[in-house]
Amino acid sequence: MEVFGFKLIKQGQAEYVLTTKTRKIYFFATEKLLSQMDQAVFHQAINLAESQGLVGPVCIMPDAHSGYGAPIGSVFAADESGFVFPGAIGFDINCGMRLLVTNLTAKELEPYIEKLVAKLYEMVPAGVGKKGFLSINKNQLRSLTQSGVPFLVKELGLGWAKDIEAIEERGGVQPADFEFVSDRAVARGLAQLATLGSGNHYLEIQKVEKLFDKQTAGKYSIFTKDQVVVMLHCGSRGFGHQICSDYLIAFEKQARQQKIKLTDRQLAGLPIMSQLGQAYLSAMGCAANYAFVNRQAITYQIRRCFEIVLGGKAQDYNLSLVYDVSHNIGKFEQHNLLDSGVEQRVFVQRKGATRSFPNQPVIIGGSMETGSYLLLGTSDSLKKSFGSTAHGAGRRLSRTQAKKQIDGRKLWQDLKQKGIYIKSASFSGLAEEAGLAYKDVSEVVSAVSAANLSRPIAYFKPIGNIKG
Amino acid sequence: MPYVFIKDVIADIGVEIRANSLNNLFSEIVRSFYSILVQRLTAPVNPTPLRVKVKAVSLEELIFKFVDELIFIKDTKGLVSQSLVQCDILVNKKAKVKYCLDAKLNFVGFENIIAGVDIKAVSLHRFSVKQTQNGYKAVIVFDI
Repeated sequence: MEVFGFKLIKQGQAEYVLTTKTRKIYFFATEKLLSQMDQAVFHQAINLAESQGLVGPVCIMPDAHSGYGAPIGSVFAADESGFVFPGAIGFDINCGMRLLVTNLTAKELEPYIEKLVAKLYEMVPAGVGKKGFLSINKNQLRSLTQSGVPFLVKELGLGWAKDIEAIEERGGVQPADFEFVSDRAVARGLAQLATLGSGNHYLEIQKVEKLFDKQTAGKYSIFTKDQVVVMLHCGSRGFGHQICSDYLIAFEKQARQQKIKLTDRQLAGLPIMSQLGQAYLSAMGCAANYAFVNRQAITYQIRRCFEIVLGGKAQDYNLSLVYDVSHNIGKFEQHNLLDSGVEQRVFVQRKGATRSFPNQPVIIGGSMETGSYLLLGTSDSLKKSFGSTAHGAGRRLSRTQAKKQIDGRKLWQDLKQKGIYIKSASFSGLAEEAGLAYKDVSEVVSAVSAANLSRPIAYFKPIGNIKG
Repeated sequence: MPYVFIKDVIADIGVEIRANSLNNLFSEIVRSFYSILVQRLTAPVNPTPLRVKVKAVSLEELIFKFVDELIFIKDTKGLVSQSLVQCDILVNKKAKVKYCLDAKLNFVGFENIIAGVDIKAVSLHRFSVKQTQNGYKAVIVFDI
């Protein structure tokens, strides 16, 4: 297969390689998913590979679709003399997934499910312009975004100490320096903490549909089919978006001044060690911590909802954190560079890709109709993809197409008949997020499994969903 | 139609806007922004007027900052820009700050709307503003 003048060669199960003038691009996908990728994915991947300041290959995940500059579903790295690209980390810095486990079965929860979904919708604000329950001042925001979840749990008491151990980077990324965050970002951040947001963000009650690895699932207290879990997908809200916007403009200006070649304006990059590069890293760290804190604050509300609707204490229903993992982030990590075999400290940028270190839980969310997966990271992912795997199903239809083809109100009714209770801020938003708008999440999981980037542990089906 | 949605923007929403003047260009930007964020009003409302002032070194930057300001007002004041009432744009191509916009807009509160989808940012991807034979053409991709 030829793509924009380059040969795309199959080199393993669900693995393809394309060699540009400067570096290799690995596509981890089945033939079916590869054929579903829009041409812009290949174009953007080639642009990315030709960008300055990268080391090693560019990796494209099976759920990739075109994004801004870089495909959503891409992973690449730079060494300390390399470049950082705010646009390639994305607007929603540290958008990610969180999974909680309960000791209830779907049958036990059935009498309460409608009430629980309604209560969650009330206590976890979703959609445009909603405010969260946490009223904090600028100084508290400073502490939260510099320290992350440990501050929220230890100082504000919103969570359990053991939660911290089940979050990527223990819920606190460094560097994170509030001095590099604009007043505009602060104002947006104060207004939106502990809210779900809109678009593809959701809070879902799910039941175990299939267990692929009972022993590993058991380590996370997932034992049986029909057991109830809670999945959360959201990020750094307006705080992260404003930080990205602020630095995008600054990066683009400086890149032009320094005559740095821009393949896409959203892909403006600067040396990591430059003054602006370092400032962005510190601000991005704050946004990443805001996102961890946001998901932790929502978790606090989820536990309260269970207490209110079912009675007793949250611990009575387990509600432990299985894991919280980001899929839009840039971090320094130790990696064996794929081409050189030498271990070194590199800055890994994951856009729509999940960290997948050996034995680390990975959460891949699908659509509200098709379900989601818990997987486990592998050692092969370190060799192949900077320890990364896919993040979701990947969009198939544009939002405009989805709205044309799907009636949100009818979808809501159809899903209710199937036993999936949905509370959504908007029917049009619901239509945009319908299962039809997404690729087959199981095919994505097959691809990462075949390429051994991560392996499936459990498959969940939704029974209740809160959407923005 | 002055603004149309771009079909090949998949995860977000892109608009192509054509207008015969700069003022109309800004007016159409506000209309497209509103049409994405608001499905409909819940009842007739008295809009809230607000002034928006933006300065920039280029027309592109002026539009980027203008949309960024609309997003900021939405997130911090809970108001969605509904229409452009008045728009004064000062252009001095010899000055460092070449464009100054002073606009009066009507806004509606979240409590008065059935929301569509949220706009969280304006992207630089495909972002362009061009002067054409018939006026102006802008391409804006909103992050959803």
